[in-house]
Amino acid sequence: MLEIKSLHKKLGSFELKAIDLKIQQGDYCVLLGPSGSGKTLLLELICGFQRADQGEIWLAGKNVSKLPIQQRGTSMVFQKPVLFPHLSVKSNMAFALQINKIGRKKINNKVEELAHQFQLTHLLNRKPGQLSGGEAQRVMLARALAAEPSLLLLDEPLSSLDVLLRYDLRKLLKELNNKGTTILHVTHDYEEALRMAKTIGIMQSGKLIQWGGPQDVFRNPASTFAAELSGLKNFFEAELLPETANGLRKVLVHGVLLFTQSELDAGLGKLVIDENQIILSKDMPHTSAQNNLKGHVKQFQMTSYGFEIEIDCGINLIAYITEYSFERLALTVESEVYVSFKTSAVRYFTT
Amino acid sequence: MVTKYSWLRLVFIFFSGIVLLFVLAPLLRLILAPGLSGLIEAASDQQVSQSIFRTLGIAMSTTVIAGFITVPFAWLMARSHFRLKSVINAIIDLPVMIPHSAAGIALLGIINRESVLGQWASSIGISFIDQPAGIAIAMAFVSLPFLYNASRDAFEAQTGLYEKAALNLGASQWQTFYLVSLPMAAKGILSGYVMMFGRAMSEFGAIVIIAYHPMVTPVMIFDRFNAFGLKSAQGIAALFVLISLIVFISLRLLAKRQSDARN
Repeated sequence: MLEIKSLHKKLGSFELKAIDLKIQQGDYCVLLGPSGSGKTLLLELICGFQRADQGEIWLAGKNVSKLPIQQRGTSMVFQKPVLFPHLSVKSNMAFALQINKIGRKKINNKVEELAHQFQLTHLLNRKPGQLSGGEAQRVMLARALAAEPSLLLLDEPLSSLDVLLRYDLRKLLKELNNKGTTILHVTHDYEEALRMAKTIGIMQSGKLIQWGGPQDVFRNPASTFAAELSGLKNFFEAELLPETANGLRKVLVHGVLLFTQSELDAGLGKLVIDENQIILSKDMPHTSAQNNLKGHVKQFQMTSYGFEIEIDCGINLIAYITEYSFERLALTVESEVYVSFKTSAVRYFTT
Repeated sequence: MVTKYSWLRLVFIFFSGIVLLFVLAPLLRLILAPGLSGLIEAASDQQVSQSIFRTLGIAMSTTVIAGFITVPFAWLMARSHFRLKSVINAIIDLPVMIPHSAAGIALLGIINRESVLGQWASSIGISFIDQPAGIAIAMAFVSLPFLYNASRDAFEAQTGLYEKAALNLGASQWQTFYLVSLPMAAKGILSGYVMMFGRAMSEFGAIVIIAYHPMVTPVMIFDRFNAFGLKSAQGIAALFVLISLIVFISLRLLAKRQSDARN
């Protein structure tokens, strides 16, 4: 559907370097990266606001690298609603159709259909200045879809909305995707990426540093950067030791010895322990888990899904447990607690 | 926060009163001095009425024609970024800064009958000196900056995102300009047109150098004052000021209604 081949673009001191990616028809792809990583520039290159210095962009089997914006078949939804203020909601939605000189009846039908789908019917005669943020963003989306794009580009479309509206719009975007619209969505919010994406790309200083399903990307971050961006809590500098024990590798984290599985050479690197796979108990556990540490609760806080507990066991570990577990273990600050996790919850990598 | 009865407010109200009075008093005196009979007398003078129609007609044509090419120029400047941009903006402002008699002399230098432009124009039957075409050129020269600045400000106030959005929805560059950029800037452009028209119809200095005849009203006021004194000039001046006021108020209302309808 979309294929990008070693795309380069230099813009002032910023450089987009050798971007390669492939998006399948019907995919929901999220490009995740901090501001200044080149996500928006990549979108602008795809829809034609910018011309690439090198490389090719193929859309629906056609090389569009040199095609003008109008002939690329992409629709962009911007971070803030960019509705034409002098036109009514209806005329905004009909803009692309009127440009293409489609008959009045067809235009009306299409606008009505979209208005119904996006719950905009009662707003059709309003001017954009009279819309709320969420309504305006829905009109933006409807207007973009009226053009029947082969690829929908979203540039942080949710960031200017409050939580409730975000939820509604996310739902709407998912529905669109389920109906077959291919979407490329850019954001700096990893939770958003996690919620929406079928495929995730991580961008850092003009490079696409990781590409894959959300599971792969967040469970196996390819770099420190990807791990930090994903909000992983238990993230350490570590030293992988050369010796093995029972087929497992020993790894040293600030003086604490852990076991992991790795094919990498001994040396310095990074280590992630999945906070969802950490088990807490009051007594020494007798399980198959190879990593068992004794520590005490440093602090805890309530979250939307239970409790986040910080345990000092030589290293500071974060574990997530449910409210029920929290009460059952009767944890307080300074409580003694055992921490255990399997070697598969420990991932070592070099950057 | 300014409270209703603060000293600051009182002092500022006093200053505001002085400024308003300073502008209004001479104009009121001018309009009231000749009385109704003086106004009617001026209006029934055929030379006067002809000159008023001439002035309004030439000013209107100048504004429309010069505006047609100035607005695209303003858009281009609003959307371009280059090092000499501020220099070009300053150059466009020059006609407002220099004495208008100097502007007339400058224009005369390039449109006189011996100049290249003058000769080329006369070869196709156009003459500037003491002709409506010369008056139009003088008017355009001194009034153009008003339309240029107002239009450029209006285009600069829109972010380029709206144009990107239109292009992205399939509009050509021309369609983007007249369906999006132009209507969005309409309010500013219309008020620029009103300012340009006002400046054009009231121009004296540059016109008097290029075309004393046929007389536009500002020149006629000066001419009558020189020949017959204050009383005679007052009637025409009052009539012209009244007509200007009516034209302006109507144009402003029209521009406001246009932009209200759009937004």
